[in-house]
Amino acid sequence: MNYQGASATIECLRGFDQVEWPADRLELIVVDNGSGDGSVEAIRQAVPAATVVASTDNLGFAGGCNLGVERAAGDYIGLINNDARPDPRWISAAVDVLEAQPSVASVASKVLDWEGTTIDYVDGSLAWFGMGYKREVGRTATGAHDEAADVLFATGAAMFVRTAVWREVGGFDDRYFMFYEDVDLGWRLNLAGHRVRYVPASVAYHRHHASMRGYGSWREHFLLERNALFTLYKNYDDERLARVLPGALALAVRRGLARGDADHHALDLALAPVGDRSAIDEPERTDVSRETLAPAFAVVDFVDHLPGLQADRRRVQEARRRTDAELLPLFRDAMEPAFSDVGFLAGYRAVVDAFGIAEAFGGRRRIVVATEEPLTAAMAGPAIRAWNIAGALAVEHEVELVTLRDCSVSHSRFRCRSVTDDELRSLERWCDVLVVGGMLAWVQPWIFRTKKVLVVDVCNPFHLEQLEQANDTDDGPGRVAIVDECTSALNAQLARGDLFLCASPKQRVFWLGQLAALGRINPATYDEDPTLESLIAVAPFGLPDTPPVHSGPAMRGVVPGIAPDDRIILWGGGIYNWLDPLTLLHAVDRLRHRCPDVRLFFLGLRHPNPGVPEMRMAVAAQELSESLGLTDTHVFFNHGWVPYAERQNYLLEADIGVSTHRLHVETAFSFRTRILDYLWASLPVVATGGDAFAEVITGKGAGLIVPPDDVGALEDALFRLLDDLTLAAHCREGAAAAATGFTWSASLAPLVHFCRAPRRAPDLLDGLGAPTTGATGGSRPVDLRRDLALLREYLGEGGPSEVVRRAYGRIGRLHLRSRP
Amino acid sequence: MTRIAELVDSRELIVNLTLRELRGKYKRSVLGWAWSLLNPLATMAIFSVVFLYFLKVTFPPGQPSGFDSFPFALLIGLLPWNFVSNGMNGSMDALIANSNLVKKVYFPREVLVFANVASSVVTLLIELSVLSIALVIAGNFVIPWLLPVALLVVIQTIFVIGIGLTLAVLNVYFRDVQHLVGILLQLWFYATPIVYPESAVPPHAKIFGVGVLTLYRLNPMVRFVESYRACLYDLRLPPLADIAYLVGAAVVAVGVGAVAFARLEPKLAEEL
Repeated sequence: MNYQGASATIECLRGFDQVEWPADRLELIVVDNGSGDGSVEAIRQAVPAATVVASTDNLGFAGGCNLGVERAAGDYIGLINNDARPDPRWISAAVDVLEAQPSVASVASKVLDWEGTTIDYVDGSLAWFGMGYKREVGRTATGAHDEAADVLFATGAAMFVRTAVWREVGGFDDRYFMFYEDVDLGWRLNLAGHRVRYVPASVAYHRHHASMRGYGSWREHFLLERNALFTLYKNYDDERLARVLPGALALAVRRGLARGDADHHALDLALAPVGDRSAIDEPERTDVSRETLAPAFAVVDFVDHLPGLQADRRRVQEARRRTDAELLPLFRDAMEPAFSDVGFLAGYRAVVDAFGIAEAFGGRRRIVVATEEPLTAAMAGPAIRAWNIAGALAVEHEVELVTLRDCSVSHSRFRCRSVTDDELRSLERWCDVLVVGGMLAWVQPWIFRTKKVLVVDVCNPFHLEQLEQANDTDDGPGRVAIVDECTSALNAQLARGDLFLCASPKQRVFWLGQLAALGRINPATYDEDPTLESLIAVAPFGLPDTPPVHSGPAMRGVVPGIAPDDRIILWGGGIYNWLDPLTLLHAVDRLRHRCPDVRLFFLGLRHPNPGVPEMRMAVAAQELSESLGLTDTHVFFNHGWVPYAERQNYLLEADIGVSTHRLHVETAFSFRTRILDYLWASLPVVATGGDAFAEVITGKGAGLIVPPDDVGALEDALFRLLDDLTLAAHCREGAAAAATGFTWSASLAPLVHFCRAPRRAPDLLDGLGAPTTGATGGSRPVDLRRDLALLREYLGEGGPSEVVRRAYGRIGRLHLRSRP
Repeated sequence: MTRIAELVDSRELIVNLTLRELRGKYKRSVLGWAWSLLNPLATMAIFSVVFLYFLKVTFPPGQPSGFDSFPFALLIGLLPWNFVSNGMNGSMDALIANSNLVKKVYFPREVLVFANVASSVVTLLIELSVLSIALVIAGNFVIPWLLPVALLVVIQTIFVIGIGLTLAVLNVYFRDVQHLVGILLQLWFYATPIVYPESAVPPHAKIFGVGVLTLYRLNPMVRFVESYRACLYDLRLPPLADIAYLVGAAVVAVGVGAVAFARLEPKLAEEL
C-alpha cells in the first residue's frame, strides 16, 4: 500500500530480494492510493517485477488492501506495510504453518521495530469496548514471545491470510479506512471457526506510524473511536452487545474530554457560581479541542453507518461457529482500561460496575483441577476424567491440572504439572474454583476448610468398590477400616462441596441418599433449586470429540495366536474383583467348539497406578483360563496397560466388546468406562444387566444384555453377534448412535455452566461465608524471576517513575478485577 | 530434605490418623480410656506382689528425695517401657493393617508409623500425668521435674519412631519379624531395670573380658528408665552424659529407620 512518497515502498519491495522464497511463486502487488505525485511511475521503474495497481481515489488502508487482493492469484496473501521490511523467513515460516495446519486461516507475523530491538506486535489484545491493542509494544525484544500461539487478530502491518478465506469473509471492511480493520478481520475469522496463529519465526521490521506523521492525532483518534464501535457492533453476540454498547459510547466521549482537556461541567448551571452573570451573556461558540470532538463525531458517524453495519452484523452472526465465551481467552485482558487518565478511570469503573462488565468479561476464572492419579501417557479413568475436565474448563478459564504424583504430559490450553503439597496450597490461594475428587482431600484435609468454591467429583463410589477390593488381602479389621476410611473421606467431601458431579442418573440417586443422610438436602439447597441439579449434576465420562482412528495393528497378526481373520472378543480394561471374567471364560470355552476362530483378549492386567494391585480376580481368571487350556490359544492376556492413545487400535480390531459382572451394589452404581469405549468404536456390546449402561445398550440397540452368572446366555449372545452379521451391523449402528450422547463437551456442560458463575452452596453460606476469589483471597503464586525481569525492563524504559507507574497499574488492575 | 518437607505438609493427615488410632483403640469397650491407666496399674500390682513379696526385690530410696516405694519405682520404669513396646508393636503392624489404604491412595507412608507412635505418646502423656498427681499425693513433689521429663519424652519419641520405621517396613517384606520382635521384647524387658534396680546388676562381673555393667549400659532403655527415675523418683536431673547418649541413640535409630524406609518403601504397594 502506497500513499505518496514512493521511497519507503521501494525500499520495502527491494527487501523481498533477500526473502527466502522462489521468485516464481511470489507475486508482488502494490496499490497506490491515488497519490498523484508520480509514485506509480517511480515504483514501476524501480521494481519492474511488482504489479502496481493505481487507484484514482484514496481508499484507505482497508480498501486499498482489498483492491490489491482482488488482483492476487496465489493461495496465500501476505500483507506488509510499505514502511516495513520482511525478514528472509517472513514468507516461508508463515506458509509452513498454513500448509501444515488447515484450521489456521491466518498467520500473524512477529513485528519488531526497524532495528529489531523492540517489539511492535507479538500478540493481540482486545478491550471489551472494542479497542485492540498491543500490550507488549515498545518492550525490548527478548526471547519471551518465541512460542506460537492462537491470537484474536494479526496486525495489518505484516500478516498472511488464505486467499479463499479472505474472499469468503469479504476481506477487510472498507468502511474502516484505516486502523482496526485487522482487529475486525481477525475477530471475524475466529468467529467463523478459523484460527489466527501467531508464528514467531515469520518476522517483519516496521517503522511505526511513519505513515500518520503530519496529521493531527485527533484524526487518528476519530478513526480509532469510530472503528472500535464498528468492530464491537458487528462481532459481539446479542447479549454481550447490549451490555457493552452503552458503556463503550460513554467511555468514547469521556476519552475525548480527557484528551482535549475539556471541563464537562462548563454547561452545568447548577455548578455555575452564585451571582455569576457570565453564563447569561456567554457566546454560542467556544474553543473546543478537536480531540474532544473526535469521539463525538465518531459516534455520529457510527450511527450514520448503522444500516450497512446491521447487514454485516447479521452475516457475521449467521456464520458464527464459536461462542463469545470461547473467544474471551484470546482477548487476553478484556478488562484493561487502556487509557490512564485519572478522571477517565473513575468513569471507567463506574461504567464497569453499572453495566456488569466484569461479570461478562472478567468471567475468566482461575480453576485448579487436582487429581491423586499420575498424569502419564498411560492414564487410567480418574486421570483421563481430570484431564478432560481441565480441557473443557480451559476453553473459558485459566486452568491448572495438578497431581501430587508424576506428570509427564502437557496440554496447549492448560498448565499440567506435578506439585508438592505446599505448591497445592499456594494454588488453592491463587484459584477461584477448586475441583477435587477421590481421596485427595483425605490426604490434604485442609482442602475441606477452603473458602474457595469447591467442586467435588464423586463419579466413583469407591467405598463400594472397597467392599470387593479389600476382600483380597484382609477379610478382618483391615477391610472394615478401609471401607470406613473411604466412607468418611466421601462423607467429609459431601459435607463440604459446593457442587457435586456424578456419572449417571442412577448414581445421582445414590448420592442424593447419602447427601440427605448428611443433612445437605435442606431448605436452603431445596429453595435454590427444587430439582437439586445445582447441587449435584450428572456429568458422565465422555468420549473424545473425534472418532477413533486405527493408527497401527494391535492384535490381529501381531499377538501370536491371533490371525488377521480371527473373531475377537475384547475385554476392554482391567480385571477387578467386582467383575466376572470367569463366566465369560466358561462361555468362550463352550463357544470355541461352535466358532473355532474365536479369540478373547484381556486388554490390561497391570494398572498404570502402581498402587492398584493385581487383584484376586485377575489371578483367578488366568488360572481358570490355564486350566481350561484356553490361554494363548483362545484367550490372551495383555500383562501391561495399553496407553490411552493406543487403545483405539484394539477397539477397532475387535468384533465384540464384552463386560460381565456379578450383581452387587458396586456394579449397580458404577460407570463402566470400557463400555463407553466400545460405543466410541461402534463395537457391538455384550454386557451383564443391572447397571446404568444396560438401559443405554438396550435403548439404543447397541448390543445384547445377559443375566449375571449365566454361561449359556452369554455364550448364546456372543455367538449371535459373531454369527449374525446383520445383527452385528445393526448393533454397530446402535452403538454409534449411543456414543453421540457421550461427548466430553456434552457431559461436562453442567460443570462448564457452573464455572461461569461459581457460587457457594446456599446451605454453607452461614458457616463458610461467600466464596473468596483468587484476586482478593490470595495472591498468584509469586514468580519472583518474572517480576525481577519486569523491574529491570521498566527501569530501563523510564527509570523509577516508570516502575511506579507500572506498579500503580498493576494495583489498579487488581482492584478492578476484584470488583463484583 | 523433600521427604521431610512432605511429612511436614502431611501434619494434618498425621493428626487425623492419630485421632483415628486413639478412637479405635478402646472403641466399644465399656471402660474406654480408663484401660489406658488400668493396664499399667494391673501390671504394677502383679509385679509388686511377685517381685516385692515373693522375690524380695527392693529399690533403694530416692536420692535426694528419700522417697521409698517399690510400686512407684516400678511404675515409673514401666510407663516408658510400655511406650517403647506399644510403639514397636503398633508400628510393626502400621503398614500391614493399612495395606488397603496404601493401595488405594498415595501419601507418604511414614505417616502411618508417625500416627501410631503419636497415639502411643498421647497414652504415655496421660499415664505420666496421672502418675505425677499420684506421686505428689504420695509425698514426692515432682512438679519442677516435669520439664526434663518432657524432654525425655521428646527424645524417646524420636527413638521409637526410628525403630518403628525400620520394623514397619521390614515386617512387610519379612513377616517373621513380628515373631522375632516378640522374643526380643521379652529379652529387652528384663535387660532393662524395670522390675529391679540397676544396682542389682553385679558391678564387677565380666564377660569375655568386658564389664557386664558396661555392656548393660549400652542398652538405651537402661538410661531412659534411669533418667525417668532420676526425675520422678529421686527428684534430680539425670546425668548429662546419659542424656547425650540417649540423643545419640535416638539420632542413630531415626537415621537407620529413615534409610531403611526410603530403600524399601517404593515397592511397598506391590509387597502388600
